[in-house]
Amino acid sequence: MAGIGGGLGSGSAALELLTAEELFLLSRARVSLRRPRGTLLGSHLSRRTGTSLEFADHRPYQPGDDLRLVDWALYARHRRLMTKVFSREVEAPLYILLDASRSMAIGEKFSFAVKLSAALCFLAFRSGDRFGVYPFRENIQFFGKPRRGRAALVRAFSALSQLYPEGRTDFASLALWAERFREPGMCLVLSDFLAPGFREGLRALRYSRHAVAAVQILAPSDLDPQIFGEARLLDVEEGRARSLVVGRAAKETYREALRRWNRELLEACLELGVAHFLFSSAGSPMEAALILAKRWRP
Amino acid sequence: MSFASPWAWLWLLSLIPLILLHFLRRREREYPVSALFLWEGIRPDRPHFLERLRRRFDLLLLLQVLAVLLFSLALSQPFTQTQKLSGATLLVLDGSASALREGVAEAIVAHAREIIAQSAGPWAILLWADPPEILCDRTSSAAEALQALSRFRPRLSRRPELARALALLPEPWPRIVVITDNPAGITGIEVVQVPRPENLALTAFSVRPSPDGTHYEAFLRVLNDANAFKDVQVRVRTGVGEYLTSRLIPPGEEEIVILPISGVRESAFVAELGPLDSFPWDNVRYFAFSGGEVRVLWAGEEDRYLWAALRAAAPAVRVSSSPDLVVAFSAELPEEPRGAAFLVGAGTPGFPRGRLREADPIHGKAHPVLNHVSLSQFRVGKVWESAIPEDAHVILWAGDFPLLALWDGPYGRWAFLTADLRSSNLPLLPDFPILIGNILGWLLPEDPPSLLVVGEGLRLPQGFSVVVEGKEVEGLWVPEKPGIYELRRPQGTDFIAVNVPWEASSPVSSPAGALPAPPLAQVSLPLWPWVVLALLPLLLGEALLFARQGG
Repeated sequence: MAGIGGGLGSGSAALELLTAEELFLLSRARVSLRRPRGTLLGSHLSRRTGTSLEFADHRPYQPGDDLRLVDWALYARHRRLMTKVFSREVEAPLYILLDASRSMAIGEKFSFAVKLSAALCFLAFRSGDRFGVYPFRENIQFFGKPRRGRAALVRAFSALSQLYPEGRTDFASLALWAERFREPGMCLVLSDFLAPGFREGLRALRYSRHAVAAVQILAPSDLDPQIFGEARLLDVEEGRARSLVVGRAAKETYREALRRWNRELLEACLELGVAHFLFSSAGSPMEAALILAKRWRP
Repeated sequence: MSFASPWAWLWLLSLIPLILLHFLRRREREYPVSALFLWEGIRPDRPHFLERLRRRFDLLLLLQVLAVLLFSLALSQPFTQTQKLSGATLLVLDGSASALREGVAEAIVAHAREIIAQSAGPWAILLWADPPEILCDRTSSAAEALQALSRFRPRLSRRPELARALALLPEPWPRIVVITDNPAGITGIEVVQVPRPENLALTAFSVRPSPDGTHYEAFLRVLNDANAFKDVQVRVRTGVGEYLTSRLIPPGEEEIVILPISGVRESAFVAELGPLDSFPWDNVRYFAFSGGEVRVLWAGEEDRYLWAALRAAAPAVRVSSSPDLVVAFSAELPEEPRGAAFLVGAGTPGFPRGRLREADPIHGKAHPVLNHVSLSQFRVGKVWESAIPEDAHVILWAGDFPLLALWDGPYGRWAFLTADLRSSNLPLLPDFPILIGNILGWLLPEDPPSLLVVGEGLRLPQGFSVVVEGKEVEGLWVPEKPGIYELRRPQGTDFIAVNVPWEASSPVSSPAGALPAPPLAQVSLPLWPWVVLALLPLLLGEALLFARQGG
């Protein structure tokens, strides 16, 4: 546990969110950027040249170049002095924007999102990246700049474990956040996206040059509601209610409406260059984290 | 099943509003959803009526209907009717020694339980033993009566006259049931006979000098109360020696065994029968000679058997004057004897002996003189038509004619035995010395008898005592166990033999004739408590379901 978790204390919040087996599962995965735009040294290979061990290219020798960087083998074959150029490794901050509205309370979506957030924080911690969790509802909570290290992980876990769903979803708060956090990084939006305005929110994140992924979490009751007969449907966020006699036809109409809504979300993501992932809250958050680590290549 | 209050079924009408309210009530269920806008514009479905009915007919309604049904059922006071024997029942449980046989007491109690369960009550329970005892006075509680059965303990004594036991509860009883293993002598009363296990028994044992005076003879009667031939071993212990013999006894028969005993005269004898069985008390019998000397004036013809029986009963000596007892055998005495007299086929001027006549079957009634004597073995060919005083107490009859009578007259105590001994089997029976001893005991009451049965009380004269388990008992003594007991008297020491009553071993008599069945009564068994018992968990389940469904 200490080896995997990097010395997390046994009484820390990490233990409450992730078990030893889950930490072990995550220990070999990492989220990496193809085009990191960070400036600080890190573990993501940048297209810019630098001083890492990763060979990038040759360039003609210029006076003043370090003679140790001259490729003498090349000189022996071609009688031309060429200097070796290496890649630069930079770090990429991970921003997790977590929807903490009341709709996330339905069908264990929120606990799924919290565990997924914890798993992603742990991945960033293992990669040596900075990370931060920012819950949003009608407004967003600015927990400060992303940080790296064990203390930041414990702090993030502690904040996650104290979160509870309340209020309404407002994607406009993502734009406020984007104005404040301009350092490009990996930006994951964890939400059910069952609220209008997601296009504007995602666009604001993209305009801030973040690599964005929309992680949509839906409950089984969202996908296939077990409602039959005379029902009073209560919107948990807005408090509005509607009485309806639900039969097979009504349920089919609802499923069609949901498909249409998700299609709009997908189209917005394609348009904005945002990755889209859909998970069911009945599944495993760890599995979702590993899928994200493997398949998201921004 | 019947109902004491059938109008209570009207409560079922309350089902109508219950069901109507259930279907009229708005039954919307609240479902929280993440996004209501996805449900906007959906037209309400109209599910099929039967589908809606099926949806609405939930478990709670079913439980409510069941509860109303049970409630109505309980209020209508259902009951079933069973037939039970009516009237008060007096149970008489045979607690004599024979009930101590293996399984007999348990069978008696089981029958008593069955009768209590099948009759309506009230009940009373009597222990028919010596002395009789009320186990349960008149009660209407079956539980109390059943509990009283646990106090049923048979005793080693004989059972007294049934009338003596019934006198303890003299009120009129519509039904009296005697539960016994031997219904002999019970007439006019309902009898339940319980089976007896097989038994080997010594039913009589006596020792007398041989008629020629050369030795002694032990007389034993062995009963094989089994369904197979039994090879039995008989052993007589005299204190200085043992005498053994064996016999093959046919099933259901009694045999007389005579064992010659040589040597000096002993005072006490023990006879044992093998092999032992489930009732070992009658496999051993005891006999003791009486200790007090009796001076006998013999009149009339000699009879060695009668003389031997007299000597077995008491150390008799012949005298010519001042006798304790006058014994007249087959003679007409010239004058009335003074004092105690035993007239055997003899007469006096006042009571001539008459002539010989054919004897009819013998019967008698219970009397201390007949203790330890089995009349069924007696065979008498002829009797003397002797004149018997009118106030004499006849205890044995040969048909209508007195066979043995006791008279406490102005000259003293007289005993009349009208049997012609030479035409009878009495001298060859082990009962004969016992009978003679009992007669002597009545004629000369000063000396305690040497033979007793368990439970037979003996009032010891002044200066006499009996040693029981190392302690001396004076005054009234009631033996509780068979055995040889030491009798201490001023003149010396003698013995008293105590046996279980022979009735305990007697063969089973045929039951009395069937009595008309007692009347039956309808007994109501209320069922509503069971209905209420079923209603309680139903209501509890309904409340839990209601709470679970959120009211």
